[in-house]
This record gives sequence, C-alpha cells and structure tokens, in this order.
Amino acid sequence: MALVNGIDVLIIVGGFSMREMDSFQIGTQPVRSERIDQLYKYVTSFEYGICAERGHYLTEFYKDNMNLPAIVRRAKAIDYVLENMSIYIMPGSLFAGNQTSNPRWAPLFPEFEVEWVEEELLKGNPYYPWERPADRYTLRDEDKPLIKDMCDWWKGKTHTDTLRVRLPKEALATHYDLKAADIGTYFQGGDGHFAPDHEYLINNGVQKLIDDCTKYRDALDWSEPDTIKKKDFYDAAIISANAIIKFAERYVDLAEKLAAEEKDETRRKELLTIAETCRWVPKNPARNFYEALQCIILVHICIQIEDSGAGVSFGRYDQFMYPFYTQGKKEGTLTDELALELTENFFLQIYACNKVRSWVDTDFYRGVPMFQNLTIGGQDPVRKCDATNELSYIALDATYHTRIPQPSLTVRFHKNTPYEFKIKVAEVIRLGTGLPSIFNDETYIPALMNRGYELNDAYNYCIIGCVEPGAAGLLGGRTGGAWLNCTKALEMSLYNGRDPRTGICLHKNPRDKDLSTFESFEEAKEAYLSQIAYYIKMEAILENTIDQVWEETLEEPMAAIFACPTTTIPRGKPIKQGGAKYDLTGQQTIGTANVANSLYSIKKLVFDDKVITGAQLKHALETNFQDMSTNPTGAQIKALCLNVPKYGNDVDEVDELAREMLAFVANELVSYKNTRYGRGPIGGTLHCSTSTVSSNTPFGKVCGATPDGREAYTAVADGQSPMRGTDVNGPTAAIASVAKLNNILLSCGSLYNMKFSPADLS
Amino acid sequence: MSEVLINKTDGLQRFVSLIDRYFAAGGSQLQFNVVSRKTLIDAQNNPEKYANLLVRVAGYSAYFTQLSKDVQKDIIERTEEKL
Repeated sequence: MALVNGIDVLIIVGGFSMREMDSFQIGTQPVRSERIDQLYKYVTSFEYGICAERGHYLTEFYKDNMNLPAIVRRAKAIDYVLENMSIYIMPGSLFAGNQTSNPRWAPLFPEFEVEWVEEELLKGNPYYPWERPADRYTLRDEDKPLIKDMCDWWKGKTHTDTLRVRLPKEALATHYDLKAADIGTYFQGGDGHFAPDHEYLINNGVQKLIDDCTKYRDALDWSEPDTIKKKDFYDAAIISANAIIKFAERYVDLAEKLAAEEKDETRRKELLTIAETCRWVPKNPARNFYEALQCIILVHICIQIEDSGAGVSFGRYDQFMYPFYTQGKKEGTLTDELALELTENFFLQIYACNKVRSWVDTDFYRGVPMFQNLTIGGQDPVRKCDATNELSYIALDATYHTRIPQPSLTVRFHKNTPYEFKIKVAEVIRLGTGLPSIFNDETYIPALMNRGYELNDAYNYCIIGCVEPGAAGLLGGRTGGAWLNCTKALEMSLYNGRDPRTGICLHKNPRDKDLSTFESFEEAKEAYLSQIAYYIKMEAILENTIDQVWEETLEEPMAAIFACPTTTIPRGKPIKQGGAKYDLTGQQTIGTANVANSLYSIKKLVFDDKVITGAQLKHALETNFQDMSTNPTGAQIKALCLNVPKYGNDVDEVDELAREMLAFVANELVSYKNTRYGRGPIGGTLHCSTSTVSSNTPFGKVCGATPDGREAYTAVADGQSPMRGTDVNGPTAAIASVAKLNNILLSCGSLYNMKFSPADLS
Repeated sequence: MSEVLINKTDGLQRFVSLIDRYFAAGGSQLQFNVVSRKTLIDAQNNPEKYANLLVRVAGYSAYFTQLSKDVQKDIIERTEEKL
C-alpha cells in the first residue's frame, strides 16, 4: 500500500493487491444490500453485554412454585420468562426473535451456578466482566440489584451445589485441582449441542406437537407405574409448545404497533408482514421460504433462552430449505437475490445471540463462541448421491458477505462432490474468516455407523457445535462434554501418578515406577495408559453424575420436543430419560501430539539411543530445562527432546504412537455407559472427539515441561493437529500424519487446524 | 500427488488438491486460517486497525483482536504451510 496525496492506493501484483496478499478479508470489500449492511452495522454496534432479565424472571417464578414437578416447573418458568422479557425488532430486519434485551447481550442462568455470578458480576473477583483483559461484557447498574437477589435465592440450590455433594472427591479433584479433565461448562450451564428437528417443525408446526402430546396424555393408563412421569412430561411439553406460540404472538403485537408508528411505507409493509408471519408460524406449517426461516429463528431463540448451552445448531440448511426454495422460484415469489438476502438476514439475526461464562471457563472458550453450526453439501440420505444445490452456494455467499463468525458454516465433502463446488468453498476459505470448515463423508458416515447409526441417518448427519456429527432431530445427549487433558495424564505417569504442580496423587502407576525407574519403553507406555484410563473413568463419573442430577432437577421440555419430537413424544420421555433415537455423550481429547511426541522422545533418548537416562530427563522436566549445572544441561536436554522426530512430518514410528494412543482413548471411552443406556436410545455410551475450542491454552497452564521439549505451562497441541511449529516438512507430510490416525473411531468428531499464507492461495 | 500439486498452478486448485489428498488418505476434517504472520502481528500491535479481523481458533471463528494474548500467540505460532 502506498500513500499518494494522502489517499490509500493499492498496488496490484499479478491481479491481487498487496492488501489481499496479507489478508483477503482486509483487501476485499463485501457486497451487501442496503438492508444487510444496515443490519450488520446495527448488530456489531453493540458491545457484548449481560442481561439480567432471563435470570430475574426465572428466579421470580421458581420462588413461588417449588411444589411443582421439576419438568413442569421448568416449562412454566421459561413460559414466564418469554411472557415478560423485553422484545424488539431490529431496524430493517425482516425477522423477529431476540434472546435478550439487546443484540449480543447474554442471558444469565442462575439455576446452574451463582458462585461465579456473585464473585465476578458483583464483587469483581478476579475481574468485573467489563474489566476483563479479554472477552469483556458490559452490565447495566440497574441490573445489579436483580442479580444480587437471584444469587441470594439460588445459593445452595444450584446444579453446581448439588454436584459438589453428589460427586466423589476423586472426580472433583480431577476437575477442580488437577485439571486432568475439565467439565466446568456443564456445572455452570446447560447442554446445548444438538440440532433441533427444524425440518419436522417447519413442515408440521408446533400445534401438531400440542395435539400429539394431548393425544398421548389422554391415552395414558394410570395403573402403569411410569404414567405419572409421562404425564408430567406431556404437561410440560404442552406448556412449552404453547409458550413459543404466545412468544410469537408478542411479536405480532409489537410489529403491528411499530407499523402504526412507521412513516416509511416500505418498512411499514415489512413490519405488517412480520406480524402476519408470526401469527402463522411456528404454530402452523410454514407456507414458504420466508415463513420457514422465521419459524427456525423463533425455535432457535427459545432453545437459547431455555438452556444456556452453546452449540445449538441448524442441521442441513440447504436440504430442508430446498423444497421451499424451489417452490418459491416456481411460483415467482423468490429470487436468488431474495434467498441470499433472507439467508444473510437470518445469519445476522442469530449472530445477535450470546452467552457469558465465568472467567475460569472463558479460558476454555476464548472469543465468545456460540457454535451455532449450519451444514451444507454432502449426500442425499436416500439416493446416496451428491446433494449440493443452489442453496449450498447461497449459504456460502451469505458467509462470504456477512463476514460474521456465526453461524459456524460447515461443508460436507464426499468422493463425488462437484469440483466447481469445491473451488467455490476454497474461495470462501481464502477470505480467511476461518469459515467454512470441511468434513469428509467417507470417514464420518462409517464412524457413526460404527456407533449403531442406521445407514440413512448416518448419510443425513449434520455438524453440531464445532466438529461433532449427529442426525438433526434424532440425537440426544451433548456432543461436547468433558475435555480430557492427555498431556496432564502423560506428565503424571512420569511421576508415578503424582501431579508435580499440586502434589496430589489419585492413582499410582501399575509397577509403582516413575521416569527414573522405568526399565523399558513398554513400562513407560503402560504407565501412561494406566493413568489415562484412570482419568477417562473420572471423566465418565463426572459426565454421568451431571446427567443424573440434570435428570432429577433440570430436564428441559422445550429441548425435548424441538430436538427429538418424533421420539420423545411417542415415548413420553424427555432426553435425559432416554427420549432420543440416538444418545451418545460426547467428550474432547486434547494433546494427542504431545503424548505421542513425548513417548517417542522417551523411547529414542532413554531406551533406543540411550543418550540420557530417565533420571536425567526427569530432573530436566522438573526444573523446566533450566538447570545449567547438570551434564548435559537442561537447555541441552531440551534441544535433544526437540530434535526427536515429531508427529506431523510423516514419520511412521511417531505417527503410529499417535494413532495407538488416540485409539486407546476412543475405545476406552466407548466402554463406559451413559445414563440413557438401555432406556430407549441407540448408543448409550461415551464417545470420542478431538475438538478443542481454546482448551489447549488453559490445559497447558497446568502441565509442567514434557519430554517433547515443550516448556512448562505453555499451551499444549490443539485438536489432532501436530504440535504448533513442529510440522516442518510441508503440508503433504503433515496431512499424511494426521490421516494416519484412526479417524473412524472419532465418532464425535475430528479437528485439524491448518494455516496458510494468503499469497499462497492467490 | 506431488505431481498433481506441481501441475496445478492456480492456488485454489492446489488447495483443493490438498484437501482431496487428505480426505482420500482417510482424514476427517479440516479448517483453515488464511492470514499472514505479518498481518497477525500488526493486528496484535494495532488492534484498532483490525477490529473486524476474523480468525479460526478451533471449531469456531472469532475476532482476533478480542482474543486473549495467549490464544493470539497460539494462532501466530501455528505452522504456516506452503502449498
């Protein structure tokens, strides 16, 4: 870029400007309609904030209604929130539906935990949310007394309070002290992590759910012992279904009121259309593309208000919307330009949703992610052929031009994906927003079938949250569960099960040995496997205790009927009682690269080449490679460790270790049942992913130096990616290594980050 | 494969070839940052100029300048692959 007469001038090199070479995002301008541009500016003008309304109204309801059955109480409490919370319609938006009093403000969920809310929002410990070093949220002064009131009432009654009593001390120490696993998210908030059955809801309407629940409830036989639970479920489901209809009616009134005040005739008509639409959906089946989107938005927003869970995803947008698209095109009521604008408007509408986490949990979720995933591409579940269509391209264009981080766009590739489509996807990736990510049907489909998915359901998978596959409308359980800190387990295996940072030892190595006394590489490997197996067991205890407490106190009727209407309603069971067709508890395995590289270092340096002894290496790790008085010195040992070949360079021996270690975790996880096992769903176990979010940085902060040459308390490797900076033989070697992992076992998803220079993709 | 890579001179085509190769070998998922180290460091030093710069953290994207310093560092230190 050169300055000529004070004006920025781009220097064009080979058809691309210098700015594009640094970043296509900076070097190119999006093309947006006036409406979309105005909405983008409006939504992004709001700083992240915290809204007390949801927490306040929920608390108000709970205070007076503790006598109700848990699921009915929850249904009525959310109904009460939806009746009383502030609603608005964004300037220029063609849709209604808001989660809190302002765009990008996050609601509070005191029923899960109030400790952090009180400490941080009211006492500033360790930070007030508006004074955090990153991930800041504002808070209105007038909301603080409401927050104090909700904290005072909930203290001693929350999900976390119950978990502290119900969990064994080893599991609590694993989570709170060692951080060998972390599941803070599901102490402090809800599950999320499912894709509602939007296809069913837009084609049938919520009234059908009410009619079906009423029919099933009326047919209950009171002499059956489980009838009372089923009746509670149907009562709650009917309350929740009516709640969303009433919520939509509030927008009818608001849109009519705004229309009456509106001077601009075009906008007045748009507002009246919003009113007419919200009078019809979600109660009735959508009659066109526009109504279908409005239905999706309201369902999505209500789920986000019932539950604080992230990862509430949309499923296969280009598939279930396609009949509405073709109908509109045929009737002449929809053009591609309008479909694009409506899609972009929809994206901006859901981008306004937000979530606030405790400061500790925020470390695992940097950058305010919502994981509202939307899937395109892939194959037709019935005909097993390519399913890309015009809407796949429209969704890509919408992501390209809105340039917002939500929804998280996912593209499914398979062996017959059209080349033209792949090039289009590559163009959007080149923009550099990190969207979309790409998934391989050829591994994801067999991975799901390996867990019991029927063929057509496996072909119909969408991505939920980050990278987790599941069939929309058929999957219960959270896809994203506890994080497993494999580097921590590896570190403890070097000290006979003791954590050098805290001194805690929950589980000794099988031969009572440590790195200084292992007599063979096999003993080192055996020690690691014993430690990781122990902490996987702790993870299973954490997951299942959370689910048990949830089932007793937090069961969510809205999630039940929107996530899995075709199974929860006939069975008369919400999700945690076994209401879903498929139910697997997800988890996230972090640090595979560090484990493989560290074990390989031990093998090479201590046992194969005998360059140093185990005792020397152990001392170097304990002193973080800083002790210069030893021979070799700490720094020399670090150099030796770094020089051992690393996973990510197509070196079979270390790649094979990575494959074996990750497969061990995946198989071990599946040996643990979840609380729905044998109660209806297919699956009923834990299963493995390599999804990371930003957990590799906080997990690194609790891990001392490791034999791969990683210094103490620095970030561990993300996902199943090679350790950053150690894949030095080019992308072909890097992908060869990562592809060697047994990806079929990762039925909860794979994650591999790659970074390219923009100039390289010109 | 390297032949395919060499024959395709266009960056996007080479990029698609790499994805195809990874998936053919049994890889499952890929996500990308396409940004130069220079841009990221400049953004760290002059956040006001890069308020809208999105990057891929893990299974999601976020505004780079709003990330904590340690996550920014993690993204900067990731290997910049050459096609």
